[in-house]
Amino acid sequence: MRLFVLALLLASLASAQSTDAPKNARLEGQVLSTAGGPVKNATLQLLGRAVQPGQSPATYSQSTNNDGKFIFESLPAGTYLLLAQKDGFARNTTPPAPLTLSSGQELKDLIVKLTPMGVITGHVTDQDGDPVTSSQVRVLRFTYTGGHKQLSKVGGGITDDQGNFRVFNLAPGLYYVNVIPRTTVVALGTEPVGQESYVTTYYSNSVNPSGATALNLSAGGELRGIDIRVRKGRVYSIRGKTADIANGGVAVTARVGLSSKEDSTINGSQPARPADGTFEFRNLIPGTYVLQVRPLPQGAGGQANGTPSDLIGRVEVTIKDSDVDGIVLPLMPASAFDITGSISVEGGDFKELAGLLRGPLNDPALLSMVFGLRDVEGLSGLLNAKITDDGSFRTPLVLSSTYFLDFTPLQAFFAAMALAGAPQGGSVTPVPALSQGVYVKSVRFAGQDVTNMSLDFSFGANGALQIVLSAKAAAVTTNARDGQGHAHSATRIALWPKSPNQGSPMGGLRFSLADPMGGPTSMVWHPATIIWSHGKRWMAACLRTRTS
Amino acid sequence: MFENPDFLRLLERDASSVKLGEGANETVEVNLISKEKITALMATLP
Repeated sequence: MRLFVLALLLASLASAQSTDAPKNARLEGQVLSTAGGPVKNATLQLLGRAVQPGQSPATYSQSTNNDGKFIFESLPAGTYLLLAQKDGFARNTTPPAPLTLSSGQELKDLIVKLTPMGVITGHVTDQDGDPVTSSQVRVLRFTYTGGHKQLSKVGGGITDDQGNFRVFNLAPGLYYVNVIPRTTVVALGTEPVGQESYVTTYYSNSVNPSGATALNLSAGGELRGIDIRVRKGRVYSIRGKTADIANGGVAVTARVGLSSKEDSTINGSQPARPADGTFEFRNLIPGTYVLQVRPLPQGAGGQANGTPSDLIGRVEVTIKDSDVDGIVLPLMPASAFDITGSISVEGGDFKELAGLLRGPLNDPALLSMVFGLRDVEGLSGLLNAKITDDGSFRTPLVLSSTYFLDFTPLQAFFAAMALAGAPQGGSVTPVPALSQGVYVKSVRFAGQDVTNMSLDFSFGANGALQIVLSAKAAAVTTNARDGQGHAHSATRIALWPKSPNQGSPMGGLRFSLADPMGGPTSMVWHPATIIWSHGKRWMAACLRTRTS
Repeated sequence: MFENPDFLRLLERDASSVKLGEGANETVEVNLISKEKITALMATLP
């Protein structure tokens, strides 16, 4: 009898413990292709939330079976991110919605969709119909750099011995294809140049990007028969020399780069002749090109063949229907383009500035990272302003060009990530350096109002840049709703001016920095870093970051 | 793609509009735009 009572008591205790102790959860689902059918052998990663900053999150991995199905067993209750990937399918680079598993929960029938990548194949021939071998084929898309539309390479390949090419791993979308014949040499040469030559040709039959035919590639689709007959066209040369303006225009040696403004894939570079600083680019079709001087690798004492490494230069050249001769590519010390100015606070003094420009870490050491100048064409990186205690600043320019004021320096973001113990890698989203509620109210250069405008320093900078901040930024609270009117989380909220802001990258567009592990459905915005004026209308949209 | 002003103009059909004055504090309801729709809009652009 005693034994029976003891056994009953132990059983009762075990039962009580099993009721109170957290139970493991279970997750079951299937990976499907957006083009239809299951995806076998896909890799799934389940990432848990790190308990402490700097701590690695718990990670669980599984693969799908032949039916595309997967099971995660014995999962601690918590919130997870589920990532799926497989070769030949687009990687999900945006945060998916989080999964929250409660103690003992068994979640079934979870569907994860992957978008299959597409293929473009074709054949390249010359004017005689013979195959063009070992030539570069490039798959292009239009991109925007500082509001300037330009073709950029997203994939490519080389024609084989029969002139065939196959470019794969392409996401669905509109593409353009060009072929660059081997005879196209954008470089210095000694051989004679004919007036007509094989030139870069765009599918289906154009020598100019504007005449290229768009190809609509569906998810997992294969576009065959993208055949290109390489065309001959009149080509021209650009000739000139480098000149050290600060030393009376003497010739200097440096590396000269050339790139097309219409197609970034047409580019090349060469060293200027050491004897006289001359250079020549051949086989160029009509169009506008950017010439830049890139300093040669430094030798002893910071000199490269007698050329100081801080010399810079850039010119734009347009070819119409003849060679362009006599171009002088001026090299000037970078310090000649220093931009000076001051930052002030409306209705306050500079003592308030430190509080407004505190950056994400509220660290005075980051004050100098608060803003910089960014070349609209992306030719140089962010040039940080060095701010002194009285609010004056100096910013060295690398190139005479057009610039944005940029209050989202990546350095501050990286510093914030490091402090928070965030994992390295992954996508990077710049964060505003200004405190919430602060915005750039006005910008003046050389006495002229340049608010909402880019800063044109193409011909130097004669004047001071004056930036006025205000602590009266507007705030927008966005409530995200799905089609049924339900609140929705873990989405990106985009906010942009109805009239694009010409003085801001991406026209002033901003994204939310929602917590991917369960972001709020209501988000307060302080469009602080946007150069903004009274009465401006903004557009807001809620973007779902995963397929439904 | 979001750098493309043509894309933003397409997106505006499903976006909400809000007018801001200095120091304003506005609330706006925003509708969910599916990833499929975003992909479809992107595919229509040259």
